[in-house]
Amino acid sequence: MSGFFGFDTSLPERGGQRGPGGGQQHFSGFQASNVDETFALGGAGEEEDLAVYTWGEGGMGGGGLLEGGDELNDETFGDDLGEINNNFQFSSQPATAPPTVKGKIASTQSRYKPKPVSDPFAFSEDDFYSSRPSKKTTTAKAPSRPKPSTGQSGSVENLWNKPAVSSPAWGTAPSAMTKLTPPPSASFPSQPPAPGHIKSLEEIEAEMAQMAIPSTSTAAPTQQKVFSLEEIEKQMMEQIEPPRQATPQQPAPPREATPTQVPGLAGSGYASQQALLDSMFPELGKGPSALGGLAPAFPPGPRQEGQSQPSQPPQPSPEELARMEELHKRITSKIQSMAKYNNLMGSSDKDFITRIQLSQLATADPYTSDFYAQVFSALKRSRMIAEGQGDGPTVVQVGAGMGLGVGGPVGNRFGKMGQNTMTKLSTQVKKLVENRAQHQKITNTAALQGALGRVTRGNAAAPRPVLAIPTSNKPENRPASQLNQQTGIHRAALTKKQVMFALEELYDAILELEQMRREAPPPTAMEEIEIWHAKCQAKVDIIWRRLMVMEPLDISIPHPFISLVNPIKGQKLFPRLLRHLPHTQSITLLSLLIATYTQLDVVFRAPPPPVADASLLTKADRLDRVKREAETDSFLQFVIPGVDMIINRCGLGLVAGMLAISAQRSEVWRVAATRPGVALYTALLSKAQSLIRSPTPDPMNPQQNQQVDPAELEQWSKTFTYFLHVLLPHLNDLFPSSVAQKAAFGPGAYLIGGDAVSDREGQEMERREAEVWGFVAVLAVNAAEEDQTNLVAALREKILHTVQSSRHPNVSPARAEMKLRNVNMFLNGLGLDASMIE
Amino acid sequence: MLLIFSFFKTLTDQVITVELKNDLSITGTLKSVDQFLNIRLDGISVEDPERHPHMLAVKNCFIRGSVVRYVRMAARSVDTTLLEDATRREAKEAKK
Repeated sequence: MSGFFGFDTSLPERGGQRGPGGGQQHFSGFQASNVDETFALGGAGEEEDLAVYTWGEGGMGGGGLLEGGDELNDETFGDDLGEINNNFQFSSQPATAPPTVKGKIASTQSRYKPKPVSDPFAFSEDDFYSSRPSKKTTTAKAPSRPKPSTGQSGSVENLWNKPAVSSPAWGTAPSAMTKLTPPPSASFPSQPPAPGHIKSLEEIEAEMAQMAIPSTSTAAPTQQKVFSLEEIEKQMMEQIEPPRQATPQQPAPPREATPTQVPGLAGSGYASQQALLDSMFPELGKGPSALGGLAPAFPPGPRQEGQSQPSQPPQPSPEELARMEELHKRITSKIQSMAKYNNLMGSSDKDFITRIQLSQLATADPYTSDFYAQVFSALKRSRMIAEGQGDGPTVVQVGAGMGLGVGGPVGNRFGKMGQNTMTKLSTQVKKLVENRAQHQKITNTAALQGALGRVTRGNAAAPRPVLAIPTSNKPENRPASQLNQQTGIHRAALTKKQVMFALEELYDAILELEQMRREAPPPTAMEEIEIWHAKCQAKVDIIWRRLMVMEPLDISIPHPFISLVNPIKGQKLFPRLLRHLPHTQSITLLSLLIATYTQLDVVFRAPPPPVADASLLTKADRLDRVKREAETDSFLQFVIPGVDMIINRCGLGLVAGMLAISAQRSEVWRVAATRPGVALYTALLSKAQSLIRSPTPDPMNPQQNQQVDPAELEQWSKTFTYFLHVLLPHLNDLFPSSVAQKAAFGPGAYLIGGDAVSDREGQEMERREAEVWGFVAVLAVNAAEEDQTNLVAALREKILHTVQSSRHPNVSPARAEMKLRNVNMFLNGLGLDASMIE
Repeated sequence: MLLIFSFFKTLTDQVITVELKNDLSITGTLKSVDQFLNIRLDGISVEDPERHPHMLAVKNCFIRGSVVRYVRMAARSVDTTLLEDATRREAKEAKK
């Protein structure tokens, strides 16, 4: 237990409750009262308990004991209170005769009742009346405090806590006090703890702790039970420490202004208490010098019945007093020297707090709660390694499978204490996680059983546990795709909501799969690897089914898979999907994509040609254009590279087949008029050309090592010729500039065709044109000779116009250069050059 | 919340600008962040130092997470796709 903290926090309160004078005085008062008690008990010599009592006296009187325990002061400053208790209890226990606590409990009642018998040996009025065995209240109360020993030997923690708990009781006390004080004839101030109600053992103990000093005499007798010799001995051992426990209390009183030393201020609870204390121990108010006043142990004359008290006094010898005083001085100086460091944290404290903070961050699965940082740093690391600058791991691994993510390099982040803290932390976290795992297992089901309504996890009162360990992963047994189970050839296209849900499910599956891949077992563990492969494969299958590629081609328009690829979200998923799909599946996927290419939003609803004057458009129209452009851009960015990749793995036969599918199922010129279409065809044609031109074995692709199959070649040329002839009449319409010019009307027509458009827009236009020029270049390269002349004839106007406009003075040099390059792309393929024109 | 914390961890040792709810904007190197999104900044400079002359001498600071209005960072230090994935994961966790 870190007594230091406890000491710091609880002091004000305690001090406030019992600080009649300064800390010094208080302390002395404490000592005095202690001694008093011994005397008092000693005074009760006639009682049978005398023998037992000498125990206590010996303990108290033996100053050596106090001295002996002294050097431990530094270590245990927090344990003070508990020991104080013990101390009092001990000294008074043997003297069971004055069970003052009982008196306290019974006080109210005893006051209102006739007081039948008086105890001549009582310390206080309460004692006086309540100690009689015949008291009903006493007997009634007795069972309620069956464990006196626990209170005294209980952990220091308890003792610390209790005062705080019972403190409110004092607030209620004043009224009762003031009311009650008159009746007891002479003994008005003599009962410090006379709250209006009957108290439980805890409260009493708490009070004892609070008003440690004044109430000692009353509090101690809580233990009614007769102690065995062992117990008493034990207490004696514990008692060795009283003086040093007392010390921490001292600094507190000075902090509070305790103005009420005058008994007259009995109006407030505090004041009345104060008054009582003062009257009880007048010497308390006189500061350390009051130690001398120990001798008249029980000055509050009124309460004494005259018999026992006088006989008590003179037991403390002068040496003892001197010793006490010296001790007290030492303690005081010690406290003062330590007070400098109040509210300051040592390095170990900081260390401790850092550990606590860090342990909050620890989880069983760093990839779950700290996914971003983990993956981000993993990516960064791989990038750095690729760049040749290695770096240590950024995940602090705590045991197997658990850890906490730390952004940057770890080693120096926690300064000097780094290593040490981390090792400590790791064990701590391991324990934490284990405990939590166990705990969760137990509580999980029980907590929610019988709960009605929706059980929300996490709110202000019961936040979601930081350290949440998944206890079970329920297997997914939903049908892979409910849509798959619907029968019937045709059905409505997926709604947007369905698409979004399907996409989210796909994302989840992909994430899980990626996580699985990341957690690959070490390459040595063969069995594990096999299991892992199987798991991954199962996941891939699930993903494949969710993609709905195998749905009949005409099941709906658009095809479910196309619906998935239409939104940008789905497009982004595309390359990630391809990474995991085996070759055959990706070919299937591509075939489907090409077959249903016209259903793609980016083709079907391709962005319309630009208009010269955007102000002619409505706002909705403008937004729609922006959205379509964005979709097209994203399609080109995410999907086309994947398509390229798949095409690159295809043989000529497959390429020819795909072109055939496209030519059959769609109006080729429509598709080719869109950027995605142009990109697709360019990829197909250039792949075919490279296969035909360079049949040299490609080391990367052993599949295509063999020479091009003549049958495939023939199939290809047939398909291509057909494709070209379909396309030829529309060739000019493929160029965005031509389309724009056609679409323009009114004054805009002049603007678009002319060179008045801003240079930036113009360059953008040229870039788009370049895509088409590249496409026709590939067409030219693939075409047979007579087709090439047809091609040139069809494009003649366009070529001439482009070359001429590139020489127009109004065209910026950059744009002119782009125009020429575009044309040359095509002409060079035919062995021509733009410079040859005119 | 954990996601954002996780995200900020990746920003350590990068220069960010923290705009506080009292309109004070502080630019500095992020040294650490905790789960309350308290931020420790080093080598700080204040936008508009004329209005906040008292900040001139301050070289580093600890900002309580609850007083932060915005944090500005370079776009390249954010992996948006990854952030989306992380959001999905967190949403899934919460559902469990």
